[in-house]
Amino acid sequence: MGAGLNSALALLNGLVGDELERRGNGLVTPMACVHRGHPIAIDREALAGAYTEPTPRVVLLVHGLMCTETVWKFQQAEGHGQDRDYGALLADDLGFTPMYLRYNSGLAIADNGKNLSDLLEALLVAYPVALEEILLIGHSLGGLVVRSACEQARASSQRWLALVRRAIFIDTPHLGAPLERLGRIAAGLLRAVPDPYTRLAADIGDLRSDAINDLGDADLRHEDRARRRVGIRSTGWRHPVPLSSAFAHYVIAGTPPPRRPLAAALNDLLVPESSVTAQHMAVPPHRLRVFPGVGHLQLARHPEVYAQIRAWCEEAV
Amino acid sequence: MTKLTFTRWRGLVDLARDGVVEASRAVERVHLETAGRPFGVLARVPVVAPPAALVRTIHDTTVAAVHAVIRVTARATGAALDVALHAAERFAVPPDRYP
Repeated sequence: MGAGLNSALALLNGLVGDELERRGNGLVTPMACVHRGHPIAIDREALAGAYTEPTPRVVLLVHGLMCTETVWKFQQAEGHGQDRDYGALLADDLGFTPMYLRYNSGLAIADNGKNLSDLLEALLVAYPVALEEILLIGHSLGGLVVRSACEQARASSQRWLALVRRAIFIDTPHLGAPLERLGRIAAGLLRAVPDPYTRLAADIGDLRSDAINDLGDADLRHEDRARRRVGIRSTGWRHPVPLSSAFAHYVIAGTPPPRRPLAAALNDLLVPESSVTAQHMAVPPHRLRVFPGVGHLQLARHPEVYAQIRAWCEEAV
Repeated sequence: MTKLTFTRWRGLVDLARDGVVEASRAVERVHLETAGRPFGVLARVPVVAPPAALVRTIHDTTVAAVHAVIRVTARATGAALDVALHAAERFAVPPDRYP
């Protein structure tokens, strides 16, 4: 029941998590680091109990919309045991201590970014040994939450940001998701029709969470919402928050197998390559890798993707 | 392993209650707007306008009353389940760990 319940809660939080939070509903998933399926408090005693051999290098894996930390788990068919994931492999190969974030993915990206920034600042103080490096890996929306946290940490001079040398973004729509912008247009059209049923359909569409709304233009700060785009093209638009110059950014993108045209079309609307590869945001070519034939979720648990992540982490920055 | 704790059970009850209340409001709005169209037409016909207005008043009042009963029932059921969950929690959780 645990995994099914977690998935159901993740789905519900992603869909309407902002409303659940506003109403103080008990189904909200608070942001926490999860160790072996259990959230752990960010205090020295709890961390020392959970991580018996903490290392000075920590990797934090941040899942995407409507997911949990289980998105990182390799399937048997994907070349590793079921308990393996990028965090565990980085622990074995490069000595990182893996930490997995679980959070209410329906909250505004800026709110989750603030919560993550505060959590990392608390981790800096409570971690059992002196932290030397924090590696951030975000999948899909999780990458935007990472960017928002970094932006807010920069603005409020939080200390943890100085420990970040690399951030890896896996299929993160840095320039927004056209599907959400299409949804806005559809809702506007439905609302313009003078009919109670179409207005009801628009109202139902508007129930989608703040995070889904933010995905349209990759809004990392609350103030960014004031300049939302009309239209679904991802090119020819500049994101108001540049990539941080304080550390190296690595970008991983994928495309679904060509034999699945519907998945490919959906992929183009959710995470088009031009948005994921952050065109105009000056990611150097050697820090950008596209995996043809690897779909959105598979990118979070794929042996070749891991090999690339490991290679980047072994590079000096 | 995540469990369906009492907090989550209460969340589930709240979600179901809020869902019924909000759905009832939306359906009531659609119902009244839809019925308002033919009533609006009839209101322009001199002979049938007065009885149509009376029928509309009865109709709208009935719709509002039915949906009000639905919402009150949902809230009352939610409150009763909340009390039951609190009682079950007191029974299940040792007194020194009860919040």
